[in-house]
Amino acid sequence: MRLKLLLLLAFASLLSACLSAPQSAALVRQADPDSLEPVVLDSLAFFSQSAFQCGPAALATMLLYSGVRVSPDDLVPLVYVPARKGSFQFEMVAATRSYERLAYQLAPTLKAVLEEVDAGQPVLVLQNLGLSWYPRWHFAVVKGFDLGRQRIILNSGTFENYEMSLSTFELTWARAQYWAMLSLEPGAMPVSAEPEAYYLALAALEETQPQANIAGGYRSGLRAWPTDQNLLMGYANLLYLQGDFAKAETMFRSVIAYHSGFAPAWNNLAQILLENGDTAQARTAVLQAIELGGAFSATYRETLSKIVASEQ
Amino acid sequence: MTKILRTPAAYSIIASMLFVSVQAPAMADVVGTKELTMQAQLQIQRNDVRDLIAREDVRAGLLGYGVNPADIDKRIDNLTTSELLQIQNQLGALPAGADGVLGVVLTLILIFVLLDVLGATDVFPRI
Repeated sequence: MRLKLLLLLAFASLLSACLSAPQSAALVRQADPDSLEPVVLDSLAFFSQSAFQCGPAALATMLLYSGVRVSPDDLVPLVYVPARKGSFQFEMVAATRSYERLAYQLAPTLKAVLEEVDAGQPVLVLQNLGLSWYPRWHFAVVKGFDLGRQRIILNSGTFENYEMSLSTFELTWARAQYWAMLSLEPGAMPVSAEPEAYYLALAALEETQPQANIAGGYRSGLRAWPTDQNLLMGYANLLYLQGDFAKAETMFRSVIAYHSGFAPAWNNLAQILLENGDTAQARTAVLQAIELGGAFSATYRETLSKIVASEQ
Repeated sequence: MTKILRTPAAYSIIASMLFVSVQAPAMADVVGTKELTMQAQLQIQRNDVRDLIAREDVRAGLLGYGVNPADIDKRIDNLTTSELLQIQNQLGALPAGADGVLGVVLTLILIFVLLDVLGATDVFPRI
């Protein structure tokens, strides 16, 4: 009996040796001792989950906070898979978009999560509460933290204001590949936002819900990153689609001003110039695109042949 | 019905419908955001697969199959989006140092309790 206990303890110490939560440790170490006030988003709604439906409950919490009137029951047909007793991440993202909200995927750092909460933005997280080889997937919403006590606060399952230690949270979150998402009204800018992730979220919303406030999303993005190639180009294309040729032309020209080697911008500028009847300038622009080449070369040659045809 | 179709108003409606359908293909001449995003995502996926392949264990595995790591970059560039996704899924499922099989349910529960105490799992909430 004693031997068994000893063996167990030895096993336990072995296990604890391979458990580490480096991000939590770094955050606690670097925390400013003068600003350790706990942060809690009191106005966040709470929906107690029914059965295995943590996905709908957590997502409803997020959507409601971003101004969508929705209940977990409304979301069950969108995100719940009865046979799996759970929800898939990509469906959580798609459902968020279906309510015209930007589904922004957060960088895989605890720092980003806490920064967002500190700025008043709850964060949807996926956790694996079990082990990598015996998973127990769970969606929850981070609504607060207390660095002084090394705790994180979540609305999770049937528990409102569920506290767990920061390092335990990190371990359970790491086993879900640090998956975290925000639900935002288009035009809102996450404090931890990175240009590529922001653009991908916006472009996905534009593709599935073009009637949403996509233009507002581009304008916010360009305020944060005025020279970003993807955002400049996306906004220029949107203006073109909306028929605002004058503004679109200016915007394509600013893509080129910052990124002269980006062939699609030369081609799209050529297209607008052609539609405005300025074939000489259109030809110069499209020749640039053709010289630069790349994945869309066939389109550039098509534009050129249209320009040639209109000159005759 | 045929009478209505012959009225000038009907003609103009039909004409506007034709106009819309003629105008639509013109959009194909700009490189759209959707195409550009797909291109950008392809690049991200290529980089992800490159990162995975840079992992020591994956590199060793490929060498075991007789693949020259110097050729891998070139091979990645030739893959399509769906092929990249397949690779990502398979590489992502590589066990990261999982040890042997511990099948007995009782052992599992015991371990969960232990890990809960150690703060590794959160199967048994303390509320």
